[in-house]
Order: sequence, then structure tokens, then C-alpha cells
Amino acid sequence: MEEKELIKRVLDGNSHEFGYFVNAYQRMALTIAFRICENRQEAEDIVQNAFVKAYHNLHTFHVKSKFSTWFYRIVYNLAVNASKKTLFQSSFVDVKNTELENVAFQDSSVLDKLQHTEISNAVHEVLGTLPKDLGLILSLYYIEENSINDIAEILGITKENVKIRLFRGRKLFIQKWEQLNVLNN
Amino acid sequence: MSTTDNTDKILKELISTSLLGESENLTHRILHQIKAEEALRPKKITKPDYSISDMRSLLFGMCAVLLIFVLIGYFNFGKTFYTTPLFLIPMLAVCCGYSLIFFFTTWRNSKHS
Repeated sequence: MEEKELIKRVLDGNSHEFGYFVNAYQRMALTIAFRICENRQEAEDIVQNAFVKAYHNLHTFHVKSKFSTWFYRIVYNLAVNASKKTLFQSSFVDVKNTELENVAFQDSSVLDKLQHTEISNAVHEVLGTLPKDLGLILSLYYIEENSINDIAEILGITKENVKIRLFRGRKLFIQKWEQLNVLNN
Repeated sequence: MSTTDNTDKILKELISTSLLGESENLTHRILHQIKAEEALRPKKITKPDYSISDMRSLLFGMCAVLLIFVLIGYFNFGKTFYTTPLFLIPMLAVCCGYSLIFFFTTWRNSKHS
């Protein structure tokens, strides 16, 4: 059944149908909240509140837009409000003045050397060292392949800002990843 | 494949591993809270018998009756008919009747809400 149809059914009073959305978007919502508050338990509470809020405000959702974008925006806002640290203001650089050529992995076979859990832990470690907004944008872009437009809508920033932050995040991630591997080797 | 594409592919592979797993009872907690809050919500107020659209159709009906009355009077008795009690009394009676129905319905709706 399509999401739009499910939303209609939920609005008609079939609250159990909302379980589909909880199952479908829970993991990414947890990841978004975790990237901001850096605490699993707190992230779970935020996601729970976000789902309840989404359920009660489902009538305000415009069917033309994507449910995921609308919902992740709720998660993001709740997480930012819950997080006392407001480290979401990064200094922007002009994309035109940066060197895109430098952004590339030197050793692409590194993935084969590490086990999945080790990779996951290492990625968490690297993402944890990045500014929160950059880590979040990388997660939104690479995990769920959200478009630049969707990310801009979720974070409430312009598309240009998303592109700049994505570029910076990508560059920083690669640098830190290479450093981590040098240290491990 | 270009360097950027290859880098993007590796980044996707790497960052996808950071997707957090589902929590054991989070789904249950969420659905339970939704159901509990739903149960605590006040029941929907029953809709009054007469809605605005009913009132509108009643008004249009009354206007149609009055128009027919006016036209019949004009064609049978001419303009002078409008000044006679034979025209004014039924007109006033119809208007008063409608006003009574309107006030009663409005009062009833406000009582329900």
C-alpha cells in the first residue's frame, strides 16, 4: 500500500497503520537524533516524541511532499531543541575557492581489510569528531540518498549551504579517515 | 569511473554502516503512547441535526416561495397588491417563521458545542 493511502487510513482513525511509519523511519530518525545529541537513550526519547508529534500533526502534512522529509524535520527540530549545545553554526567557505581535486580516497581497498563492525565503529568515531552539522548532512546524503533539496528542507537551510557543508564534510571525513587508518597501521 | 564517483561510492559504503539499529521496544513504546493519548482525548462532539448547508437550502426554499408569491400577486392584482394586508401578512408570517427556525437551530448548535 502506498504511503499516501496509509496516511489517509491513519487520519480516518486506523492508528495501528501508523506502525508502518514507525518501522520504516525509526532507524534513520535514530541516526539523525544520535548525530545531534550523541546519546543513544536521549536519541530514542527524541524519536519517540517525534513520532507522537508526527501522529498528532499528520493532518498538517501535505500529501504532495515526502513523508520522510517532513518527519525528519520534526526529528531534527526536537533534537536541536533537546540538545543544550548549539554547535550548529559552522563558518562557511566559498565552494569556488576550495580545491575539489584533493577530495579522494588514496586507498580504496581499505574497506576489504576491515570487518563490518570495525568499519562501523571507525565510521562512528570519525563522524563523532566532525562538527555535528557536517556529520548529519553526510548521514542524510549517503545513508538514505536524500537529495540536496530534501536535506535543505529538513535542516531549514538553503541548497547552497547544504552543498557547501556537504563538500566540507566529505573532505573532513576523508582526511580523518585517512588519519585513523595511518594510526591503525 | 571517475575519482569523485569512486570516492562517493566508498563514502556511501562507509557511512551506511553508521545507520543505527532498531531499538528493541521503541516501536512498542511509540505505538503504546499514541494509543494511550488517543484514549485520553475527548470524544468527538456529535454533529448537530441542522448544519449551515441545511439552513442555506431552507433559506433558498423560502426565497423561492416568496418570489412565486410576489409574481402571482403582481400578475393577478398589479403593483397595488404589495400595499394590501393580503400580501404583507403572509410575507411577514413566512419571514417570522423562518427566523424562529433559524434562532432555534442556532441556539441548539451552540448548546451542543
